[in-house]
Amino acid sequence: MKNNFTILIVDDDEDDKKLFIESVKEVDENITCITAADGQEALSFLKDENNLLPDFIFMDLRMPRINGKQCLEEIRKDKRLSPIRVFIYTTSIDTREAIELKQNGAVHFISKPDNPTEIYYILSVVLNEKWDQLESI
Amino acid sequence: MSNENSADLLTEIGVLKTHLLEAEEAIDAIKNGSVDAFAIKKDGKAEVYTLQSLDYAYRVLIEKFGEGALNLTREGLIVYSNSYFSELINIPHAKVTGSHILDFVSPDSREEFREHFDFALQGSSKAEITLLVNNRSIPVYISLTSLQPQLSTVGMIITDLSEKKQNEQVLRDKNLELERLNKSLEQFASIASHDLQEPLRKIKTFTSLLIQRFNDDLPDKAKELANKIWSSSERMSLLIKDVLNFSRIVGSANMFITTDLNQILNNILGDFDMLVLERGASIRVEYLPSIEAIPVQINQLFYNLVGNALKFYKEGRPPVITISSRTLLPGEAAEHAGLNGRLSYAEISFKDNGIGFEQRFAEQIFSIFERLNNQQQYSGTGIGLALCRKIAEQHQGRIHAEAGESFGATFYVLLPLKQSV
Repeated sequence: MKNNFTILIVDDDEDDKKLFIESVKEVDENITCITAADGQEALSFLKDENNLLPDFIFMDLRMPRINGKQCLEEIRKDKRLSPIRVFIYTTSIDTREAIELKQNGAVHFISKPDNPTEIYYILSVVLNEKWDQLESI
Repeated sequence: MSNENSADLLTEIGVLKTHLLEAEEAIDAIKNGSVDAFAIKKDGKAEVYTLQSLDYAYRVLIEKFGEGALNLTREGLIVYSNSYFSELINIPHAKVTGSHILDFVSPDSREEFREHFDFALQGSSKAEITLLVNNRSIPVYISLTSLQPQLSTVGMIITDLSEKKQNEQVLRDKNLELERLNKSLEQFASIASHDLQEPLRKIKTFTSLLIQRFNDDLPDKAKELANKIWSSSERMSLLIKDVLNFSRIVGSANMFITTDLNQILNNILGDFDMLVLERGASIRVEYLPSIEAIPVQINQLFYNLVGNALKFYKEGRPPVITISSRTLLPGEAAEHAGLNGRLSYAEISFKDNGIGFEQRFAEQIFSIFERLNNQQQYSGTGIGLALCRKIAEQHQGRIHAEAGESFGATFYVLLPLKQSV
């Protein structure tokens, strides 16, 4: 596993972002975390060519202004951004929504776990690029 | 006598001769039975003279006829109306005869009426039009027939469609209402899957953080309380998931495909492998048919029934479950309330030797949130069997249960082999 990964976390929920970053640091302290509070903030960061592109994006779905689904569409439309691996990271347990988003180019649809140790597990799987092992919904 | 006078007299004689000739023609026509009324123009107005010499039985039949009947001249003047028609438009009978039919046809329908009327002069024609009388619209179905060669008039039968239209409107309104309800159900599903889940997930996250990070610092009593918070919220999320499942089944329009029930059951039994081993259960399965069904729903149905049979077992008595099937022909199916008597059904039974239930609760157990056993002993949300019933109904089928003599229960699921004849 390379250890200079950058992860962009797009979520309007401060608690979730904090817990996520804590778990990332537990997996590997050298991983850089960038945060955005909604789709719009994420897109303006990504579209600014001065910024280095992240390796992974973990994106919530229900967010103000530009939601996760719209943001994913924008990313997929942009040639420079489209190779970034986007993981939907949400409370939703809607299977239909999950299928639709995977068709729209999300690598995986991850339901936010209710136990922090699960975040650790998910992250270690994702960072080792073994996300096939993640439980699919 | 002047020349002028004799010329006048000659003219008058000529006119009288014409009248006489017309009168003779009329009498002939009456004798032949080829007219039953005269429309005579007097001072620019039409006056209608009806004749008594008609076939009495025929007239009574038309009078008692449950539909409007008119006889119209080629110009559209009403020379005969039965009382049903005058009651339908609520105009005295005497005023109806002599009126022009277009006076009762709504302006929007007049052109259409004229077309059909012209067509009927040569044969017959049928149409749905609207009458308009005293600002009251009456939707009607009309059937026009030329009465030639005996009569030069056109017969018109009028069927009142008001009730039918009202029913159609009610049906349309109900459909709209149903669509609206389905929409709000979807909205509810989305709220349930996200908005209700979110705060709950946080309760669980922070409770588990509390337990994990401060385990050593917490007194035992506090740990116990934290565990209680965790298990209650765990149960709440299970409830939300089940309610969500339930609402999706209710609101979904799904595709029926030929489904091998053996395959579905095998998949489910695979899911229960561990539990079967743990409980020392034995499951006997007979050959099941293939039916037209929504596979994901049948999967859920079988899962819930097998799951229940494994869950409600009696301590010290390993579960024995028998799943069998027989076919009900249309005649037999008709004997069961709620089944479509024209279809053949598969009756699949799930028999167990578990704790069973009292027969008087046999219906109640299918109600949502209904539980007969306490939460501590047998976990569950009380949605499983309600969901089973919904699924059976969605397939035009039924589900019912029978309590065993002293223990055990049998659940019967009746599902059509095909969804239509």
